[in-house]
Amino acid sequence: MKSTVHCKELPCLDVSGLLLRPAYYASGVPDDQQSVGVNPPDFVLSIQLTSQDFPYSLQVLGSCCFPCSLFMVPICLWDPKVVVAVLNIYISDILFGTSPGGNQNSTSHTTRILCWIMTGPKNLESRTNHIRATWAKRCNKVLYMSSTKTDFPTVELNVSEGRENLYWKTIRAFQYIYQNHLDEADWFLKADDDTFIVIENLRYTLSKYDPEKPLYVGRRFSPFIAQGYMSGGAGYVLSKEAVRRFNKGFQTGECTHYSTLEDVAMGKCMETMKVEAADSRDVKGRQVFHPYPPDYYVVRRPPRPRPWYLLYDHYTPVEGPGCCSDFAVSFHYIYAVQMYALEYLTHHLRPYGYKYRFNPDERTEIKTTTKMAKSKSRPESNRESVERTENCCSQTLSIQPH
Amino acid sequence: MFMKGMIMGGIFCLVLSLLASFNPSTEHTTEDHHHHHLQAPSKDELKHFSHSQMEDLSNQVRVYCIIMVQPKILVYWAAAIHTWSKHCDKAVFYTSEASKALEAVDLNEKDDWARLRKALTHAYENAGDLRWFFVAQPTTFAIIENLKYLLLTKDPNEPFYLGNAAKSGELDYVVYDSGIVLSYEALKRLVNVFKDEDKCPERGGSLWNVGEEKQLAMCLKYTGVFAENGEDIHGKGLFNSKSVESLISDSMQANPTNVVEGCCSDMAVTFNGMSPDQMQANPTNVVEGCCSDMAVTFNGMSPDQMQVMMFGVYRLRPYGHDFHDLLIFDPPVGSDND
Repeated sequence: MKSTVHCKELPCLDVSGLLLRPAYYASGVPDDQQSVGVNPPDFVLSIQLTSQDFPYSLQVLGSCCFPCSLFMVPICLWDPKVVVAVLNIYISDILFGTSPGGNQNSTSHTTRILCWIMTGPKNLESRTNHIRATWAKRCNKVLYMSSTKTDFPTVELNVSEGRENLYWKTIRAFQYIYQNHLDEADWFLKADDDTFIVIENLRYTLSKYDPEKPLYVGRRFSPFIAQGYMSGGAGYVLSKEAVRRFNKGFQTGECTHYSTLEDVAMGKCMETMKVEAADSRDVKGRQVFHPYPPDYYVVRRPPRPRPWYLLYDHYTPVEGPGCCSDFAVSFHYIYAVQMYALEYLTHHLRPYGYKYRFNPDERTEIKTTTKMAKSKSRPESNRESVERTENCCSQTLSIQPH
Repeated sequence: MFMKGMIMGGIFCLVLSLLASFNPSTEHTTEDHHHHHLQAPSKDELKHFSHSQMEDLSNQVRVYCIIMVQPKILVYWAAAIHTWSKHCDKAVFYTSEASKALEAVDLNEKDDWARLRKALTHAYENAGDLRWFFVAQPTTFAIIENLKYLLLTKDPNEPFYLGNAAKSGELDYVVYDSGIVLSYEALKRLVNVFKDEDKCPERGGSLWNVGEEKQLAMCLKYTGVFAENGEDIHGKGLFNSKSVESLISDSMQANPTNVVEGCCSDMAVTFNGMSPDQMQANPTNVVEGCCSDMAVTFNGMSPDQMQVMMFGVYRLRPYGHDFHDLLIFDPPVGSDND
């Protein structure tokens, strides 16, 4: 089955972290200078990706209208003749997982996320519907867990509705996932039907960890459990190994239905099975998972003792703008209108041209760009030559799904 | 006889054509702006500019924000100071009466229209080298970078009067709540026509109970300046009289299953994280519903909501999207919530 995607909608593939030797051919004339000459509509760009995992050469053909800067190869440029199947895996890892070049301290693992939403028949229309319309589509896989099977579609867990059964739902949900979907993802997110998640930021947060390690990531709370536990409402994530251990715990009896407080009980099992509670804060120490809506945190307050909703925090909370990471992952108690409003603010509305203050990956490619301009006889700056192409994508891209 | 007739005819023709070109209501040589929609530049349009031309353009489009406040709504005043107005090149607060708590130009004027006139006159006299003027209410929230993008290729020496354009009978006017944009030329003409008590009375308006936004439109119309609706390249309005949540709510009622995609245009290419199959099934850029990606203003948000907007607009974003914008706007100095 073939899918065609218009190349304008695809992002750039960041190959800057890979050892690459670009060779630009115009009409078969090799040019192994490191310049990006994209003006002619037809050219062959041959890149040898010598990263350990992907020792293949990628040949690209054609022109691209998508303005990519240096070291960002437009994905639409490619020659289907060359190792397409492998490239699909590679590209889907880039698109949906950790880019081998995109993250300074990443290893070569991927960051596929399976999202499961804790919901029930009463909330499908009023809440879960809006999750499906917004952030759920960004998960690699999404499962809606309920007490009954429906065409939503929901998975039927053998559990009744009600607050006291929440942990039973969690137990059965992870059991179902372990039995049916373990290999489809590296990380397993549990969210409520009133949680808003920014999947890209979750991916970024998780990319620094190894999913084969027993890890448990979320908004860390101190009480009840020695190493702490993760807030249920803010959403928490188990690594693949953590999911294995969770299930093993129930098989061996090491883990039980410890409490009706779902998140505390999960914390207890994690502790028992020696799954490590991680620190999910960003490099500036700002929180990423939030058990309440943004106005609880971001609004400036005079210095005061911790308000009730910050009492459980393991790490000293900050009120005001320093509370929350630019790459925040979750907010909770988000209902329909706010769900779409957050979706709009996160993924749509933006200040044109604004240079964000927080740039964790600022690279030196700007300097490289000016260097490049000298090597070819192109009068304009290199950035311009990459961004401006006259003949925009006349081809559509074919991707064979694997 | 024939020659006389020819000469008479020729003179007659000349006189007629001279009369036709004589138009007493205009005092300028450039054409009136009768088009009613003003669209943001497209990427294609900007491709033609060189790097240095773009730099020149971005240095040229600088905005003087005129923020009308009153002591009785001190919290909104404070909110504007600490949030969006920091992104103006110059932000001046104009108050009806002085307040000990906050600094502003005290116009000492209770009448809304008279106050607006005074504020505009003051701004014109203190413009320095700023050529674009943005008039806001205390409840307005503006994204100045998007305003600058909208105005980027427009010449401020031409008369521009834009925002959310509405109609009242025959009069096109810009709604006050969602912000009013004036170019230097428009403001210059306006300040001049203020002197004309017949065309643009200072107190006459209240007799007819015409709001100051319509008064403004009428005065500008006399000078040959007409209201234009500010839109993105998809035709979506950029100036909103409602809050984000209110607009979303409206959109939900209008588009039950497709709220956000219906809502807002994706101006720049964005990565939506879908698999190739999904992307084929849901082609992006469905242009319907509530709000533009490049929206300039919203109105009716509480001071707390404005702080959340600062986070939502200037900070919260998905990791990994690179927009390759053709301009760079630096964050304001000495600010920490953006």
